Amino acid sequence: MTSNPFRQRLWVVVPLVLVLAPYASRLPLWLSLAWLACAGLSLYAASGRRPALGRAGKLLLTLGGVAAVPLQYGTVIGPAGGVALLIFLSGAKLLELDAARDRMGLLFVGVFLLVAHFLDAQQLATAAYMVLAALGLVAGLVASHAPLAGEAAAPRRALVLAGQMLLQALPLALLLFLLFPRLHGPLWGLPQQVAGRSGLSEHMAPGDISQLILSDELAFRAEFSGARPDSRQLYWRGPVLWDYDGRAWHGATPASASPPDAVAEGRPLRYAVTLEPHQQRWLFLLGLPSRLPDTPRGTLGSDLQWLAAEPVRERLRYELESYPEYRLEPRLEAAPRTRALALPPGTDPRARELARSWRRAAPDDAAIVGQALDLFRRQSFAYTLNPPLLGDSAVDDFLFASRRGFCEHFASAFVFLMRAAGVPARVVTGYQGGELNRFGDYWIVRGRDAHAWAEVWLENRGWVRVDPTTAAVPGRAERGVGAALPASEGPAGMRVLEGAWLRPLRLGWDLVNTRWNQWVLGYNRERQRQFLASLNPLLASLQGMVTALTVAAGATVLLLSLRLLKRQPLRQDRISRAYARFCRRLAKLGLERNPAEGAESFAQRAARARPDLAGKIRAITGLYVALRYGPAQFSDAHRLETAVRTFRPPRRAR
Amino acid sequence: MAARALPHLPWRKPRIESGPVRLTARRLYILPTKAGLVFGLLLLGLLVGAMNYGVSLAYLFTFWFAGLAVVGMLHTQRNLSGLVLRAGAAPPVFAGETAAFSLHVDNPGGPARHGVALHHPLGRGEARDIPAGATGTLELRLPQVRRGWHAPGRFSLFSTFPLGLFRCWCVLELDWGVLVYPAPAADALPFPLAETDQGDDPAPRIEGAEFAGLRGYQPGDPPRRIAWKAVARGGRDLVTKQFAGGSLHGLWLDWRLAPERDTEARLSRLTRWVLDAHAAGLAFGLRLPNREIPLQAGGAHLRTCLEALAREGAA
Repeated sequence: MTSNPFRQRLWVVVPLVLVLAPYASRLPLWLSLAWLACAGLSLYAASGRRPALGRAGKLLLTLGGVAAVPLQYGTVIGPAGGVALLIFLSGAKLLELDAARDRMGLLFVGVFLLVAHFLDAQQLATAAYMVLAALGLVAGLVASHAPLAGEAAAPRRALVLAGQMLLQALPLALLLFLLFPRLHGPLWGLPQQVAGRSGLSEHMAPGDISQLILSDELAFRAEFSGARPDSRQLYWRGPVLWDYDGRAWHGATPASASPPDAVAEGRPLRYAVTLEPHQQRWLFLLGLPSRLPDTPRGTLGSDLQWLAAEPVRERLRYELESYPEYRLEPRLEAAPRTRALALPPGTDPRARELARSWRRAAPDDAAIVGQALDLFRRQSFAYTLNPPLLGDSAVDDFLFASRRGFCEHFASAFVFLMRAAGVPARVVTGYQGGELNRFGDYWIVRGRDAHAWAEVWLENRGWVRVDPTTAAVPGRAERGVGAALPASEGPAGMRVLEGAWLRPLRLGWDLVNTRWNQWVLGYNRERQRQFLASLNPLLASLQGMVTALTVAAGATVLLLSLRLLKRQPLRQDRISRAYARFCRRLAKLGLERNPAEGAESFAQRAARARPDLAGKIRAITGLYVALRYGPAQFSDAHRLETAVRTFRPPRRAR
Repeated sequence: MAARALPHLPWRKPRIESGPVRLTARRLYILPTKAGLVFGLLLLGLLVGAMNYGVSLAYLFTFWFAGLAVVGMLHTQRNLSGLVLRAGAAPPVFAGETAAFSLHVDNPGGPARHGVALHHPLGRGEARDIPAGATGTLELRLPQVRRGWHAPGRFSLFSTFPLGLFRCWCVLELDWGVLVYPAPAADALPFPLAETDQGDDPAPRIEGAEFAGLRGYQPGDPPRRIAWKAVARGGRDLVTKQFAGGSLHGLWLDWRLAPERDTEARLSRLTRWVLDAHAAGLAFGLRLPNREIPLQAGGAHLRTCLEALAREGAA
């Protein structure tokens, strides 16, 4: 039973390929090819057709790779370069895999790379795939470790054993996962920043939001408890833009960090938002919050902009109670008033003239707002993702020439008109609506739900939300952007997925992912404390966790060891049982075995009495004697049993 | 009290056991191997990484691999637990050769066992599998230097299956041993003549005996007795010339007739003579200081003589 070097190497190469495959898209092509070439060379050499690469060749290859990786990445410190170097070295090591120690070492590298991959991707599908890769690695360990065990090296046996062990390890893993105390922050430096993602920003130029609309990327999910709001109420407030430079809106920094001067009205909504990391500080909310949650730490500006203390770098969950109806800043101070009326000098003369004409005719500010909305409603404004380019006087061009635009055009033009007419106004960006997932009863808000609207300040009423886009395009707020846009312009992903039969599937999958995010990926310190406290308040402390973990893990290991190490019944009796059965069969024929009679002499007597059965009697007795007293092995017991089972003598000799 | 409870601790002198030994948890020890320690460090590193980057799945998989190591430990113990060991015979060897101690391992129940091996300070056996309900034989090959009866002393039976992260073993000392014959002297001197002629003609010539025929070569035959001509004529296998008894009185191989002076060298010489005489098919007797074995021929006689030589001087 000598070990087969080709198989042994295959047991290392295949699991490593499984682990490394997800890395391939981020590695330079030459590295992937070099690794595969090493693997091929290693297997080729092991199949005995050709000696492996010579010493000099191996040395040259290793040095070349070690030099090339830093050239490619600039450094080997840090996740990207270090992992690339490790991957290269694992490939080079494949050429030298003769000792069991080498194979184990490479499989350990596989374990490291498997876990390290989660720094980059944590989706459910990734995890499922990595379970498969882990199975491969463990089976590889089993097989590489028992090079002589011909039976265990059989792929099926090794895989089954690996699967059994992984399943048996799962309860322990889950216990540790739930109870191992999580830290508050990183031990040292944070990971390198993920490349910038599309999202709202503190600037808004024409075309910015229409770009965002094209993205199907998830912004956040929101789950309401208690009262369900209408989709028209869902104005998720983000950056508030005060300052206009003639083209773009800027300056989302809150005018003052003082808490808003606001009075809540009506009944509050309760909801939890799971925000995807967007690398900015905005936190989205509906209306006026009754109180800010403890986490994330942040400040609420007087213009109801909620900013986290630090950019949102990982998925974040917060729960809020807020009032959709409220009265914000019933008295407007001089400074914010000036800011809310400021316009760059000299631009857009026609719009200014129009606004002045409204001011002259209108009795109050509310009537001016009505005039502007009337304008959008009556004139034929088109809602489109592809508006024509606007000239220097962007507002004039939009209002009087093109009349084609997206929500940022409408909001921008509206606020311009208001300011020109002397009504304090500002632009608010955020998300509007979303998609309700009825399976999980939560809202999915994506990039395509990004929106810009306006707020005007009215005497006694404070800041009032006005959405000029809905005036021009009535369906926008109820049915979402997909319905409001011309059919040819809907975001590509939306068009494809909007098929009626696919929708339940997509929403179901989104629900699974939401739960995954909440319970697995989002299982951080806060969630852990919260969850454990809901089980038992004692568990919420560090001491409680450690105690519970020790007790539960101990019990699990004990149970498992009882199961695995329970005394196996002896099987030696099989032989006696089979022989006794044989004697009973003969007794039925009138051939009783005398208790003092030896097996051999009984067989001789029986064979004389029934010559037709002599052959079988001798064979069975021979096997029995060999098993009992002779050199036969236990495996022959099976042969004895089969022989006895098939021994069905007829009553009379033929 | 503790000594009764744990009679098989590694540092305690093991009892010499003779009957079948059943391996139970009481006598199985388990500790991580070097690879297991490395794996532990790897898991620690992964855990620190998971903590630093706050990656939930890294936590989960690190814990999973940690659980796997624990489960692997139990499997390693299970791989040995319940085996029944029986000492097998170790065929006698000549000094300078390697004795093969065989240990029969019954796997009466439970799953197949894999990669079970023996370990001794002087040698390590090959790992074997023992299928479910079967018996395997493990071999411990130990070089033997001195003649006499030698017990291999304490050895261990171990396995690191399935993951190689833990090594489970038991320490054993069985009531077994091997008889080591003296090493035959390297050069073949002629047989001694009768004791009366001692000193005058110490080199009687075997060639004086009558050529009796050829037989197949057996290890230990002196080269000069090989029928090279017969081989050269095209015989594939070596053949040895046989001579019929040179003396009807029989050949007495006497301790005092050996030319060497050193006890061990004399025993080696006698061993050579005994082998040669047996190979030649002669009847011979053996005279040792404390023992005389009468004239006889045949395999049993040869073994008696060799054993006497092996045990010469032993209490």
